[in-house]
Order: sequence, then C-alpha cells, then structure tokens
Amino acid sequence: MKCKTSFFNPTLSRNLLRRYWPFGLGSLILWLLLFLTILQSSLSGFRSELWDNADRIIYQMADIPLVCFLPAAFIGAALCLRHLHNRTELQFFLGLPLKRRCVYLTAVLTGFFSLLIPFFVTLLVGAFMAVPYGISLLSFLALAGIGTAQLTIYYGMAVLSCVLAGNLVGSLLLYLGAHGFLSLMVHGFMQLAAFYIKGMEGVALPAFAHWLTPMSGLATCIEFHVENSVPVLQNTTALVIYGLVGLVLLVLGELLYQRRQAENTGNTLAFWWLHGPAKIFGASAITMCALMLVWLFGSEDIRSFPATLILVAVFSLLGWFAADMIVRKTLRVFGKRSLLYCASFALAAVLVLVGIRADIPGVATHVPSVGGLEPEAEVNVNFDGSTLLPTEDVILLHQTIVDNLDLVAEPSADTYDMDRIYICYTRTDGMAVERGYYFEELLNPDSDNPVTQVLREITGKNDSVYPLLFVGRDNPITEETFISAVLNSAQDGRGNLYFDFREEDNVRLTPEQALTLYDAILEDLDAGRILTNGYYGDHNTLAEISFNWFSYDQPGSPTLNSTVCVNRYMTSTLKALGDMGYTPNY
Amino acid sequence: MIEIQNLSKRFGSFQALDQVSLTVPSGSVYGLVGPNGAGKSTLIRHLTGVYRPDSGTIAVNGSPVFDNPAVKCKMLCIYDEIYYYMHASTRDLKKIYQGLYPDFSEERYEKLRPLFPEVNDKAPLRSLSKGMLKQSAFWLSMSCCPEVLVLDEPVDGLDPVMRRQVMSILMADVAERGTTVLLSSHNLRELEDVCDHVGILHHGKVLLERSLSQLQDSISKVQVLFPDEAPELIPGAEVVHRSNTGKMYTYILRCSPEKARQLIGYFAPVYAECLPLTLEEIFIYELGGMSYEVQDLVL
Repeated sequence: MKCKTSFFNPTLSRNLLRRYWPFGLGSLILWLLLFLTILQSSLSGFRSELWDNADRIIYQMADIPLVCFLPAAFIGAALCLRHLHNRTELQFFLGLPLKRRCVYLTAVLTGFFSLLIPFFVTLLVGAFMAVPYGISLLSFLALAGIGTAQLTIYYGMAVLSCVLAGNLVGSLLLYLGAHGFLSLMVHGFMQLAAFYIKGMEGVALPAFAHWLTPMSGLATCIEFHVENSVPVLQNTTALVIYGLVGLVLLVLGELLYQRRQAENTGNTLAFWWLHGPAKIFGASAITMCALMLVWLFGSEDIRSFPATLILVAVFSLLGWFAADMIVRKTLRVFGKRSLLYCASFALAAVLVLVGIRADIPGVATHVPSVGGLEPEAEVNVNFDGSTLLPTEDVILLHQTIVDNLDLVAEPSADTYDMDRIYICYTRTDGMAVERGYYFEELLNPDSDNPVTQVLREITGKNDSVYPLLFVGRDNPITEETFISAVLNSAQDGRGNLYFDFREEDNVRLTPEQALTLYDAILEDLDAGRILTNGYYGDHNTLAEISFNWFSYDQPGSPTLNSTVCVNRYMTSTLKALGDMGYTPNY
Repeated sequence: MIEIQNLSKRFGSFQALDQVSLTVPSGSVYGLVGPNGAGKSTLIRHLTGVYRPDSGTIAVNGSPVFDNPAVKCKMLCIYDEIYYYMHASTRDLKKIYQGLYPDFSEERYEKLRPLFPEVNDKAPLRSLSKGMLKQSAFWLSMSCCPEVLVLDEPVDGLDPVMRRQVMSILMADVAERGTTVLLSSHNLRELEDVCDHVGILHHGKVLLERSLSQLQDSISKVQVLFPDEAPELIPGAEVVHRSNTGKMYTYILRCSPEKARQLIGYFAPVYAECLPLTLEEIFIYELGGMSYEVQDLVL
C-alpha cells in the first residue's frame, strides 16, 4: 500500500472537518440568517415601476461578503493552521508521513472550501427565493464570483499571517496590520501634512493607499452602474487582480511554510528576518495611533509644532518598547542594544515630523507639468460646482496660487468663513493629484487677488459657469419655454441654503420677474462677476433662484432645472431684485 | 539503520547539538542517555523530520528523513509530550493512522487490545490519565507495524506492570520483525534490560557510543581475597577503581573479564570472583574523570 504523498490528503482533511465542524455549521447558519433576511427584506420592498432592473438588489448585497469574510477568513485560517502555533501539535503534524506541502495544502484548501461552501449554499437558497421576482441566476453567479474573489484575498492574507507568525496573537496582529497599517500611516501623514503644509488640507487619501487596503479597494470594485438594464461592476479587472493576489499570497505561504523552523513555534514571529520590520511597523503604528488620538481629543494647542514634536518623541519611544515587548514576548527589553534602536527610531520619527513641517519634499510649491496628466483637470470652489477645465488652465491657476502662497490661509487657521479652492489632476496612470487652499476672499471679481483674476479668466474663457443656463444658448429660457422660478432667500439666518425650503422663503416669481432676473444674471456672467457656480459661503451668499423650463418650445419636450446662487458681487442681479422689492439684508 | 552524521543545531545563541554522529544498526535497540537539556528530544525531533538541521545529515536506511514521506511512513515516534485531538478517541485516531500509515494492521490492533485492558478505545482521550494516554500511543504505534520506532522517555507515566508489558511487546517486535528502536531516557536503569547499544549525550555532544557487549568487554569488576597484602597495581590492566571491606578487595579493571581473571590469577588469591557490572557502574568507571553533571546522570 503506497504512502499518501499527493498534494492533498483526504484523511487529514476529513479529520480537520470533523474537528471544526461547529465552525462550518455556524458559518452556514449565520450566512442563511443574515443574507436571506436582507434579501427577503429587499425583495419585499422592491417596486418594479421605480427600478429598471431587479438584479441590482443582488449586486447591492456584495457588501455582505465584503464585511463577513474579513473575520471569517482569519478564523478559518487560524483553525486549519492551528498546528503552526502549538509545539506539540506541530510536532505531530510534521512527524506524519506527508510532505510539508501536502499538510499545508490540505489544511488551506479544507479551510477555504469550509468558508466558501456555506456562502454558495446560501446563494443557492437565495436564488430560489428570488426567482418569482424575475431576478436572473446570472446575478447570483456574479455575486458568487465577487464573494470568491473577496474571500481569496482575505484568506490569502490570513494564511500568510498564520505562517509568518509563531502564535495566534502574532497572526492576528499581522492580519490586522496588513489590512490597516498603510491606511493608518497614510491617513496620519496626510493629517500632519494638512496641518503644516499649505495646500494639503482636504486632500483625499492617495489612490495607492486606497487600493492597497483590500477592504476599501474591494468596496470600490463592487460599485456598479446599470447599462442597458444590466448591472455592470465599476472595476471587474481590479476585483480579478485582488483574487489573483490572494492566490499569490497562498503560494507564498506554501513556500514559507516549507522554510518555517518548527522551533520558532510559540514566538510572536516565526522568521527572524521579520523581527526588525515588525518592530519598525509596530512602533510606527503605535506612535501614529497615539498621536492621532491625542489630536482628536486634545485641544488646538496640542497641534502646535513644539507640542507635537514632544508627543512624537515620547510616543515613538513608548511605541518601540511596546513593539519590542510584543515581538520578543518579554518585558525585559531595556538592554543597551534595545535602547540604541529605540533612540534611533525616536530620532527618525522626530526627523520625519520636522521634514513634514519644513516641507522638505516641496509639496506646497510643487506644480505638476502637463506631461503625464489627463487633458482635463477638476476645479471645485467651496465644496460644490466641480468644473472640468483644460489641464493647462488649471496648472496656470495652480502656479498662480503657489506664486502667491502668502495669500493662502495657514492650515491651522479657522477656515469656516473662508473660500476654498480644490484642484484635482488625473494622471495618465489613473492616480489623482489633489490640492486644497483656503483664502480670506477669493470670489470677489473686483479684488486685485491674482488668483481671483486667473480664476475669472479661465472659467469665463471656458464658459464653465452655469453651462446649462447660458453656455451655447441652445436652451434659453423664454416666455414660451418658461415653467416656473422660485426665489429662496437666505435672510432667515440659517446657514444651510440648500435644504432650507421654509414656505415663507420660497417666493414664486412671475414669468416677467424670472426673465428679468435671467437677463441680469447673464449680464453679471458676461461681466465676469460670477467666478463659479459653486457655493459662495454663508458670508457671501444671499439667495438662490431656481429655474424650471422646457428644453424647447414644443409640447411634451423634456424639462430642465438649474439653480443660481446669488452672491454679493452680482450687482446686476441684485439691482434687478431690488427693483422687484427684494432687498438683501447684509 | 539510522545514521546521523555531524548533526548540528543552534537555537539562537544556544548550541543544542554539536557535530553529533551516531549509528543505530537495523534490528537493534539503541538507548540514548543524557541529563536534562542534553539534546535528546532535539535529536529525536530531527530524526522524525520536525526540525531541519543547520548542518549534517540524518538518514534511515540510506534515505534522508526530512520531508520524506517514503521514510516517515515506516517510522513512528512516541514523544514525551503526546499530542492528540482531545475530543477524539483512540478509535478515531486509529482511523487517522489507518489513512496515513500504509502498514497499519487492523488485525494487529485487535490482537494488541487485550494487552491494554485499561484503555477504552471509545472513550475521549481527554478523559484518559497520562499513563493511559501513553498506553494508547503504544497501542496505535505498534499497530502501524513500523520498521523504526523512536521513543522519547517511553515508560514515563506507566505503572511498573505496564512498563514491563510495553517493553516485552517492544522486544517481541524487535525479535520477530527486526524493528529498529531508539529509546531516549535520563535513567540508565530502565534501559539496562532492553538496550543492546547505548549512547550518552551531554551538552549537545556524544560522549560515548558503544554496544553493550563492547562495554561489558572493556571493563571488569573483580572481588578478591589475597593471602597477603593486596597489590596497588595489577600489571597488564589499568586499575580504574580499588576499594576494600576488611581484606576483601574490589577491583575495577579496564579489560575483559577473562583477562581480569587471568591477571588476578598471577597473585594466587584465596578467593576471586568476577561480578556483573550494572550499566550505571560501567558508565561511571568508563567515563572516568568526567564532569559532576554526568556523574549525576549515572548515579
């Protein structure tokens, strides 16, 4: 009788399944309860006259495996590779007449399918439930594929964590670190940069941090839109890549499993070469967490540079010792060598902070060149009214801002009443380059602020302000096309215009009034007094005028709607309003 | 045959095994002796493929052991710390062993059952005592009909009756099937009756490795009553030890018993008798001026 030397051993697999059957059963019950409950709720609320496609219900449920597989993958991997974290158990497994590869693959595949099969069974049951509602089986197949990709990447990370670590705590720390370390550090650095470097406030996390954090990247992948009544995922390619990366991690896990030294079982980490990086990453994470927590709950004074410097120095010292204790599993980490490494780490952390404060990379003054950028870039003023403009124009604007950085508010200033301009370039590789600046006053067309003048020039040149109403003049408001217009005043003192539709503020304008105001707004636009169709801020915004009209003067033609934000610089419009008896109180 | 050549292993700054070489002939029972921390269990774990050596080779019947299922399927090890799935029973483990060891014999399993009457093979292992767990381990291991059996502190936890029982099963297997057995222990007395080869491990090095017959032929204990004064030296043999109770002298001579009789005969003693040496005594006198720790081992 031959020894079992294939890559998979059924005896071992059966034994693992028998041993951990409560996990498999519990998994199935939870899936059935959670998924089917949500599915039933969605199906019972479905109204075909409102939605053009019922399959979207299934696509929307891709969030469930995204969240559920995150802990489940770790639990499954930790159970099936439990022998790696217990000396006597490891001794038993490695003493078996099986190749190490066989032991690994048997454990890993058993764990993987134990996680996947309950999910598939649940989808099958769900498919039967959804048939009467006209939901196609293809959408369930798509969800099965999405879930499999999500599980593969999570499971690959979990398995690799278990192989690299010598005990369960180490595995968990590695797994959590893999998911969140990069986001934590990038977020922390962005916070620091936003507070110390002009232009970095309000900038989103860079794309690489988003994609290298699996959960957030996968969340983007599962967004969908409907094309020809069929839901289509935003980024199937990225989803497939995540799945392939998961497979690569499993292969890497196997290679490391073969090289793993059994005597390191029980230690936090199973490979000596991980100690250094683990201490550095661990100490960095602890330092950044502590600093962000203090910044979150502390006073404004705590964010001053001297205070932050001291905090970074102290937290990095403590963080290093904590990481060292965790890695070495001992409280005695105060030897000469440890102290030297600790001091070096603290010094490095302080130098990084000084470097951020001094903007050594030159972020504040960096303006990208046209090469390597998409032809259009985004400009957004006061959090609304994003406009796509030619990249050359946006670079001109950006350069002007950089040349006049003294006009830009300090990041630590109170920016509530300030105007904000946000610039976003898209590189040809898809990554975004963003900057955000605050000005005391940006949108006064009569000011000598060079940035305002450039903004006026580029927005006017491209007819980017209120294109629906005025650009091209294809769908003008006339007596024949006019439907209605409403004037909403901001005089009630409440700051939030857009959701403030108290009856006494909503004045229905007559057609003559509406057309008069329409002409006045066009006059202000042509005179360059309107620099953006975005929000002008509470201190500048006086009213809103909402126009409804037919796209052309034929019965049954589509209706159009546009809302104009009336600001203090629109002198023609304000005069017209005054002639009608509406005098702003400012 | 088990061949270990120049095996070395370091754990951090601690040298656990240092150029260890030993040979276990096929069909023999080899006793590996050493104090706590000598490296016995470490050596055994190398032998069973758990540890990867830093240098050196380990081969069973000419084939390397590490990650070699073809060798390991004919080799079983009973460790000092036994691992089992505690919710499982002996019968459940039998199924695992049946699936993994090609030579597992159901017939032998049933044949051995009466020899382990205290072990209920349906009871969960967590309900068994330490001694019964060890019995269960022996039962399963012997049912696999291994060619090589490695035992780490084999009788630790067993009562005297079961110790004898287990050893007799072991010896029967050696005699009938030519099983090669390597036993490790820190107690020479328990190895004395079963081993035909012995090796001492100390601080990761092999101090001594001989067959029992070689050892017995190399040292003799003679009790002598001389008519006159007893000689200090015996020409032709090294006197390792000399003591007396009244006029009855006891000599430990570094030579074979036959030669000892011959040499003592030259002095025309009134009475002379060669006495058997225990393994402990052999080691004490063989190793001569060794360290205190090893003396502790053998006393």
